[in-house]
Amino acid sequence: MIVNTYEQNVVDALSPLRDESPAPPRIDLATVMAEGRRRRRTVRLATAGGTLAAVTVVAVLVPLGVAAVRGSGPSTHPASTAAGTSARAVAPTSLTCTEQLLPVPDGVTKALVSGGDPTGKYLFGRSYPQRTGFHEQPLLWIDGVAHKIAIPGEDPTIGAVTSNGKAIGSSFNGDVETGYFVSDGKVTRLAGPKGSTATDLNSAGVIVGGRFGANGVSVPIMWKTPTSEPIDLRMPGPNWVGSATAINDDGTIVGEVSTSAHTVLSRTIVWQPDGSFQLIPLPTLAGVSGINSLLSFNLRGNVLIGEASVVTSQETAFYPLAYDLGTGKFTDLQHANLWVTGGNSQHWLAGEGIHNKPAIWTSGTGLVLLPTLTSKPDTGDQASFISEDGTIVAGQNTDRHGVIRAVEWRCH
Amino acid sequence: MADHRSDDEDYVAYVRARLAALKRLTYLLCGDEHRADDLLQEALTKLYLRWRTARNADHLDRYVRAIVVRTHIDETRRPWFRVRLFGTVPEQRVSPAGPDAEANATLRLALSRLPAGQRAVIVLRYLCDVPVNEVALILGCSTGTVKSQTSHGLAKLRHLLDERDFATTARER
Repeated sequence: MIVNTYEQNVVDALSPLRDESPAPPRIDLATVMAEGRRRRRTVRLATAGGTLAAVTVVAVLVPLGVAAVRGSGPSTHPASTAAGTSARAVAPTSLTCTEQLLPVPDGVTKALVSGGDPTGKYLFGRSYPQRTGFHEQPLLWIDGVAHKIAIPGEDPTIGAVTSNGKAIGSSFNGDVETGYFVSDGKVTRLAGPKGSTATDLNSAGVIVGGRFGANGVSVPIMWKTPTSEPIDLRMPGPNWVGSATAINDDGTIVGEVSTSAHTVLSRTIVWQPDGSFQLIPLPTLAGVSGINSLLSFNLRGNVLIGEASVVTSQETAFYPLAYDLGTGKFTDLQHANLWVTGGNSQHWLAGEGIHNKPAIWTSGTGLVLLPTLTSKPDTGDQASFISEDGTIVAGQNTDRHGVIRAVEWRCH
Repeated sequence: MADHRSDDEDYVAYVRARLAALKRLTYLLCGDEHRADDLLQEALTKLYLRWRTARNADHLDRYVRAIVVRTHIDETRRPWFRVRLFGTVPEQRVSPAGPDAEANATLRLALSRLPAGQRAVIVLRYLCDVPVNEVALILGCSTGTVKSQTSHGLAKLRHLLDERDFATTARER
């Protein structure tokens, strides 16, 4: 690998750690082996005692394991400056979800779903055609039918798709990331300097993302059309760094920015279509002090799903929340007890629940663990997408052979 | 029973021979002694559960490294890891005083601020001398992903390291 000068300097700077000797391990192998035998018995009992439920009907689950650990934080929904849970649509009081494998071309089994458009008509992800070598194949499912998308380069991926079927993707050529636009199966490289990559687009074809500026510093950018050159978005100050992460159909853009490249603390910024911008204030959440960072990872209409965090030198604590760009109000979602990967404008969330199981959350049902292909715990499965009406959820699920499969859950 | 005893003996013999190296890897990934021991214990438990398969692996050391690294990444992805709100600051190992120790502490702190995947790639490549293709196999990803994680990780590290400390550390090596 060719390492540039500043990267080589960092590698050189790390070299003293090579000579460090940690203290001898405090491991009792007899205890380790006893714990292993105990787990083996537990798995056998679980496998013998329960067959896989194809359909799960769930009311409200109380994830005791998570709640117990979270005991040092608020145990009930807080009344705070963040609004209570008040999704604008009536949340269901129970959900019935069924799971099905999504088709994958060429007889490949290893695949996953990473997102979709708000309706759920379009889902995207990728498959892993070779048993070794990890050559990924980006996939776009349209009404459940899989289509291969030929994005060139290494590690190709689709990053977003709109309800009219346009998508953006990216890949690497060496160490340089490149953005692509996808329309009707045709893949076009986006213009811009090396290291320009796309993260989201809207139905009008406006694309946002980031580029690597001098010394690897990230700069937020926007393409007004898929064929135009990118333009830099305005920043609050000269040393600020960041990237645009999402755009809605109104043309409002959201991004993550930091005051400088030397901090790990992030703020969420909103750019209006006229180019003006505002920093979203840090929220105040009941029972939480010291919030110093705010991240967003999902924009549906005017609703951001994100996380506030308290970053210290010891630990980082995350608190899921929603923010309405129109009203400027936060909704505290930390009681969802879910590692959130996505959500919709009704504040229904998708992600990973207790025991690393795929799950969704609504204010009416609480946490809903989704049916899975096996009953094994801690397989790292997750729901990564939930549609606006909540009927389509998609993500990944490990089968009994240990292979990650692309799956869809239909909920009603 | 004889088979089980033989399995256990093989497991103990293998782990004892690798314990120091594995502790070094977990220490580099975690940045502190306590978590390194916790991670090592969890990884060795998983190895014990899979030992009958693992002992026949073509590249057992790679297999075990993969368990360690993936366990570390999994742990950092768990909700209860992310919400560990300690009532008190966890006890830290007392490091020997001196400029070298301070510089190393700065480096470890910067490493600990990286996302788990980027940290694993940098530790494996530059502190454990594992080639790119093997890092990809350990992490279960493409070599392209390893390179991009490396690039992003090094860029982040550079910015995290205060310019003065960075210069001092580089000069003293």
